[in-house]
Amino acid sequence: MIEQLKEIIKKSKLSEEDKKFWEERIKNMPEEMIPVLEILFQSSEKNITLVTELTKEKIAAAGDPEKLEKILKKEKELLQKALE
Amino acid sequence: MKFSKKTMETEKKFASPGQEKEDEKIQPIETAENGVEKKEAMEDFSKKEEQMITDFLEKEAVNAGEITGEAKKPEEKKSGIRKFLEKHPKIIALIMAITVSTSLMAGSVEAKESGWNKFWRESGKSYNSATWKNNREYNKTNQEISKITHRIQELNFEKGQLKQKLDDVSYRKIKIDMAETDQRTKDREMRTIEREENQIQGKMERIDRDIYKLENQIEQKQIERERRAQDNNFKFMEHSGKVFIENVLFPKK
Repeated sequence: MIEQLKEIIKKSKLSEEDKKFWEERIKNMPEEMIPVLEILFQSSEKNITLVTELTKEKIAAAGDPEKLEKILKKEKELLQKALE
Repeated sequence: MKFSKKTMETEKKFASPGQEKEDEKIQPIETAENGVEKKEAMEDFSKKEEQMITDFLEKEAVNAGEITGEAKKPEEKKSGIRKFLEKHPKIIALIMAITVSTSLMAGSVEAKESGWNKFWRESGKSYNSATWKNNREYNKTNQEISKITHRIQELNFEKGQLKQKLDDVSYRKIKIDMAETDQRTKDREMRTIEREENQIQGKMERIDRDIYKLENQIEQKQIERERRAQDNNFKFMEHSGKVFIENVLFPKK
């Protein structure tokens, strides 16, 4: 499964920097998370971009309540948009 | 708030690559000035996020008529939200994206016990048990595709060798034509070499037909593989919705 996930990321349209980001993360990821990511990434290129963007944003905002609040607002909007 | 050594080690393990280096250079997270604050902010965010999604789902399930105003029991709400999610796999996928990214941000032992982490962990298990047969077939198809691809490569190699022989025959034909021998000898040698040329061309045509058949087989197997992946995708969404309701929205106390 881990190899399939790596392959999906390799073939994705992500930048080299973002591919590297996942490469590092996958190494230390709990195994239960692998199938979740694999299926999310496999189902659409948009999901790959979205999860990458959200994860990076959250890591950068960790410890900053204001930034985290903005992310929360963005997620709420995303959920609302998904229904349109 | 005090964190165990194990917690901190796990947290470090999940930190971003850049951050790992930074932490190593500066000081361990438990002694960092804002270490605890950061941890609390992340936990607070995780709770708020969970609440935001719960509120969103309840509200939208009501709007969609899946939960009526009279539904007060958790079981009734649960059923309504489940029906709502079953009709909106895009929402499940989005919730998965949100939870995965939050789990990656936090990555602590405490976070592992939160609803989010339980959600994706249980989703993974449920998905694995629902799809193992499909996965087995998927892998089998993958192996078959690899074998056929390998056979095509072998045939292309054989074709390459025949092509070389054909070039050699053409060169020999020119040589016969230019040789200072009588016409009868030339005709006889030409007939022999043309027979050889026809045999090579026949073999090449057979190889082309075989390659065409094998390429069709690969196409069929790729369709089959794609169907299985789609089926798994559907199963995952179906199971994730259920797991989300059971573990995050209405966890067993």
